[in-house]
Amino acid sequence: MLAPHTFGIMLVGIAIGLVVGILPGLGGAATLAMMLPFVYPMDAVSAFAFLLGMHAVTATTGDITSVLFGIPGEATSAATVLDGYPMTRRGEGGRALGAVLFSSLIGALVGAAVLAVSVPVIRPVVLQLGPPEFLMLTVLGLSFIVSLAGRNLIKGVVMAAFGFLLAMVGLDPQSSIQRFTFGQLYLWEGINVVPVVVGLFGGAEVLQLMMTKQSIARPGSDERLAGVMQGVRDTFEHWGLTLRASAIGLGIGVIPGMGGAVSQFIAYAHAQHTSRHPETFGKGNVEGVLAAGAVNNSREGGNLIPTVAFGIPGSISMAILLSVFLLKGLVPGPSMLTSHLDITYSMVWVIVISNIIAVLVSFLFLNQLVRLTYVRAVLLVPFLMVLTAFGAYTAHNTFADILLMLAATVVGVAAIRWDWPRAPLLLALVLGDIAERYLFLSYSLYEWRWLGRPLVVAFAAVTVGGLLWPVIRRRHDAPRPAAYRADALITIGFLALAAWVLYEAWGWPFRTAVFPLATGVVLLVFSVVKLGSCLVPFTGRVSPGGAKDAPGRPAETDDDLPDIFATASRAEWLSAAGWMAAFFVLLWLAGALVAVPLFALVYLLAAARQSMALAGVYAFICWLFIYGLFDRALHVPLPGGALFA
Amino acid sequence: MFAVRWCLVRALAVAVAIAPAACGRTESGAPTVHSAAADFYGGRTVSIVVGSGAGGGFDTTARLVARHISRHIPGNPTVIVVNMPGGGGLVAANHIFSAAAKDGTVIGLFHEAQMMSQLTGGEGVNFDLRQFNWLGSSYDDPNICIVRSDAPVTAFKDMIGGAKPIAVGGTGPGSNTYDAPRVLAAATGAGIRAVAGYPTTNDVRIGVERGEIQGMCLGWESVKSASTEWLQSGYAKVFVQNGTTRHRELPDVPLALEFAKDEDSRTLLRLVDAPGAMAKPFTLPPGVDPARVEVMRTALAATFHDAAFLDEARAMRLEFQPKTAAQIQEILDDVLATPPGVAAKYREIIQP
Repeated sequence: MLAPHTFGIMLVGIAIGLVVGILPGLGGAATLAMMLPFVYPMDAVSAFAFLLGMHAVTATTGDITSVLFGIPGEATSAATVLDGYPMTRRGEGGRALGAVLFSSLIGALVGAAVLAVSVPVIRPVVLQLGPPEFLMLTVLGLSFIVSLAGRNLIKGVVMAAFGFLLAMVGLDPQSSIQRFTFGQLYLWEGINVVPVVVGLFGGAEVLQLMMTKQSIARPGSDERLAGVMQGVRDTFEHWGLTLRASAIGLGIGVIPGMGGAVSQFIAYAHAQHTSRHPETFGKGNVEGVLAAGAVNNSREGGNLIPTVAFGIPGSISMAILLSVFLLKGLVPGPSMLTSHLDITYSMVWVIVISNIIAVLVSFLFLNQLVRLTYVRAVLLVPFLMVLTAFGAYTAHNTFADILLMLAATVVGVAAIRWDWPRAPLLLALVLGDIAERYLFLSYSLYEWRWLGRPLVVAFAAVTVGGLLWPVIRRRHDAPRPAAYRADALITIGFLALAAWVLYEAWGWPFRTAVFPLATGVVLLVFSVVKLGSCLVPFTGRVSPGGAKDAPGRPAETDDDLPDIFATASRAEWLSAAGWMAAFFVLLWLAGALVAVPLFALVYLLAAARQSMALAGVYAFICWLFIYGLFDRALHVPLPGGALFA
Repeated sequence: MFAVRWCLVRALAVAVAIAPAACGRTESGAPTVHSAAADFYGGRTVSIVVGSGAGGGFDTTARLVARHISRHIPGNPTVIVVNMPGGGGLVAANHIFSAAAKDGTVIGLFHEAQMMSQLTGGEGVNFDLRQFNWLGSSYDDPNICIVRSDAPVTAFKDMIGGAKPIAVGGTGPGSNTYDAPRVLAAATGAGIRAVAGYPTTNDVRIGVERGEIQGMCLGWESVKSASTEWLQSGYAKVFVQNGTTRHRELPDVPLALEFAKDEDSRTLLRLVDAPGAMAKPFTLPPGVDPARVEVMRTALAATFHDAAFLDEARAMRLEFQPKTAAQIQEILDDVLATPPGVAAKYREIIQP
């Protein structure tokens, strides 16, 4: 199977993957590319043991920050936040981590098993799926906006339309005409999902933690439910769901051109559809965590299939792996199934073994990691601030990424404060660009004949069924969602946005304009409806306490978790926002090497009222980490500081 | 001349006693430049700023060069790759032109097709390619088109005026995968329909395998690197090349120029092929000290002849045919002197 020497190299890869997966701003394709020099002296199997071992583990451990701190490291970890973080706040962080890691393991095993048996037959299957089928999968994904929005359907559609418009920003792929770019080069490529995810979820959580005087996790929680092993038991209890989510990740991973975030949301929405307690999703339901975890790693197995079978990579990470194939004299394609079958199978084994080892090792220190969530939150703030800044900065290595993240933070905070669901926005942002691209590509290729393709019809049937299912199951006691005075103002803002979009898009050529115009009309109509419902039966502002008791809470906060944004005083708001602004201004002016240790020192002394010794040590460790590990050892690009430019 | 200037700098920096000795070597020139460069680069970090994300062809080339060039730069600095994607290299080109450090520690590598953006007055172009300190390009990468052997028409001469156009996939305007077939069809009257909208060239390749499109146009080096098996097995064939002379590896494939309708068409076809002649060019920003530019030019040329470098390149199926700074300058002067009328026509043709 694997020689001891190869096994040793794989262990090194796994160790790197474990660290890199947790660290902010690392992981994914960039890290793979950085590790390439090390594989040059290795033989083919060792090279894959090293790279695949690392890559598989990175995908698994990337979920840890999502669960513990509510800060997703990449777009593919966003769905993990939705239920994982509320569980942590409830004191079930260990259980959530156990669930996400163990379901990841199951997902990886399923992915590897399918990779092993399907390689000989996969080519014709993948070739059946063309642009029209991709489009229908996107439509299926978009139909889940309805369930992700929960009872706040109108707000959900408005947020989704907003997300769709964000997806339209940049050069139109058909004509290369600029849309909504304000002449900014940064926006030409479109809005990158990573800074948006980090801000929408992570940035908002950091602000929340700065206002709270307590720890992330509520102390005194049920010890029996707090442990990692409970999460493992949950995985077995919901084994059907775990397997189905694995299948979804695998199926979508096989298709080149569909991003990873798509499959995670489809699996998450599927879990909600089939759950006996759909109303608890977003409030810490372990089923949501299981689905999100299982998808993550089965997708990696799926991604490998087109890479191996066609020699055509399904993602950037796979493109880097492909260059290693070539470097080692291997030609991916049919020969991987005949003369190089041993390599193909050793890749399967590497995925299996590295995931098992990673999960076992993680379990050894997870309970320690969870203790971090019982520490006073202010102590974590400098560290988490770095997590959000570096997480966003990886998108393009420019400060504009951080500004985008901060803008998303503002949206995220407003969404939490006044009950606007965040998941539909994110889903529409991820899918909007793909939907438009494949609609026009399908039309260019087949005109309207693509509508008659059998798989298109099949996907359409699944979509319609998925939309009807909740209607059939709906209980009659659906309560009205909570109302806020601010809703009217926000809705007026969206109305103005819709009007501006329609005005802007009016002069564009038909193909460039049709998606923005349609989305603008949807936003306009639903904003008007929402405004009507705000003004007509207005029952006065719901008090913060009353809002918490109202059953129609948004998809993100828990009924019995304190809503800090609603209760914080003006002074607390100003203080938190001021510290946050100070950090990012300092980062912009002085760069990461100065800003992070300095902020840590001053914040811990002034805001957290810690001793000089602790603050000093904290700041020094920050500096050592950033200078030693990121700057010197890994050569990760860091914000350099406008003053030194 | 620059050797003298370096000597003055050194004379100020080091003790007066050794200055005359150092200046005594100016007749030979090189050793002083070399040691001055070694003093500067030793212990520093040189970044190669790539105008695309990790994992693409530009990134692969940059990382390959980064691994080997340090041995050929005096002082052996650490060489790292920084990805700066955006606008098909536009962001990186603007950055290198004005914002990047001009001390010789930042090398740029962005898409040569930016010359077409500059020529056609594209938005966001805040540079003049002729002012860069070019170090050298990587390949000679003529644009060619391939078609599946089971397509209804596979010979270029039969496509001209052909009733049933073949569909060729591409990413979108501004990319050779889309612009080349558009110009090809307009300049020769060939029945070729360019389909835009594929996210990457890999997705175009899968589209060819699925059969919804019959072919694609791209650089010859990319075809050899990614699709050799197609050609070897007879699954697909090269049906036309867009260069000015037939490529030595493609003696039997017709040139599009042979079928050009008129003189303007010939100019348009030459424009399509021009960027490929200086594919993947490395550059320093304008304003870098000429001595350091020379040091880096020598280092890059030496890298391209380094045995270890060539072994790795061969394994990755990359064949380097570098062009010198003077040759790059010549291509740029030639292309950017295109009459405005033809440039406008080019711009019009690539609009969908």
